[in-house]
Amino acid sequence: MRELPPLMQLALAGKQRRRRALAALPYADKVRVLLRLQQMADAIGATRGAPARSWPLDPATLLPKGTPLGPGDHPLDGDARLKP
Amino acid sequence: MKATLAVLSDLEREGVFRRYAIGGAMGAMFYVEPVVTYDMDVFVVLSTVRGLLTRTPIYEVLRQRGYEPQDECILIEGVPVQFLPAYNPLVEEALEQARAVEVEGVPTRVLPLEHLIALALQTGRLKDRARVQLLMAEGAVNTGRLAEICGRYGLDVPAREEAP
Repeated sequence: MRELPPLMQLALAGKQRRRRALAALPYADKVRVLLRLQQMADAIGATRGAPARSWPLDPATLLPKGTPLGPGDHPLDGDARLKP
Repeated sequence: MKATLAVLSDLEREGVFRRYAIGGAMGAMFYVEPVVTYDMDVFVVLSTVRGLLTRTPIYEVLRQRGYEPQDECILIEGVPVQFLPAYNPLVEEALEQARAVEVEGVPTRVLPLEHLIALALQTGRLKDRARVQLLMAEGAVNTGRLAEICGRYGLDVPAREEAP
């Protein structure tokens, strides 16, 4: 295979680091990335009239949007409990 | 997603199916970077009705709880879930050996990495082949284990290479 120019090698190494960092995320954070990817794909699809397919989940809670939260369910509750 | 997993655990506890585990792209995401998908493949050991494998009991229970079918999936708490029966010995083995994991405190199960690869090899569509490449390049594959599974099921062991 022909050797790539140094600039391209750097760019590809950067991509590799990025995908390793993504792979190391906790699963719930990967689902949040997936929601973003779905929204991006929806935006592209909308330009050719394709219907939206992204999941209607709240990225913070990963519950359906509009789900009432019980005590302790809010993602910031953990932080709030640490405050005096 | 968390609510979806809780519903799946409820169904298993209630005996609607005997065991479940996440596979497909959502299963692969436990091992590698996220990739776009629009449904969650859930492999299940189904109860048989008069000797036939059927998803009808799952659909009936879910309908009673207000979850509606959407194409080949059923929409559970905002996530389209496709139930796939353990249709051959490789899937049965993968389900039996599924790993217990937690997603933000919600317990669930995922198919083992080596079985996900073997299943994608066996299915063999273009997207499955791409998934094999990704899992081989980025996943922490136990190559001895994968070779052993592939050998038993007559599959060619894939080579490790750069991610697509």
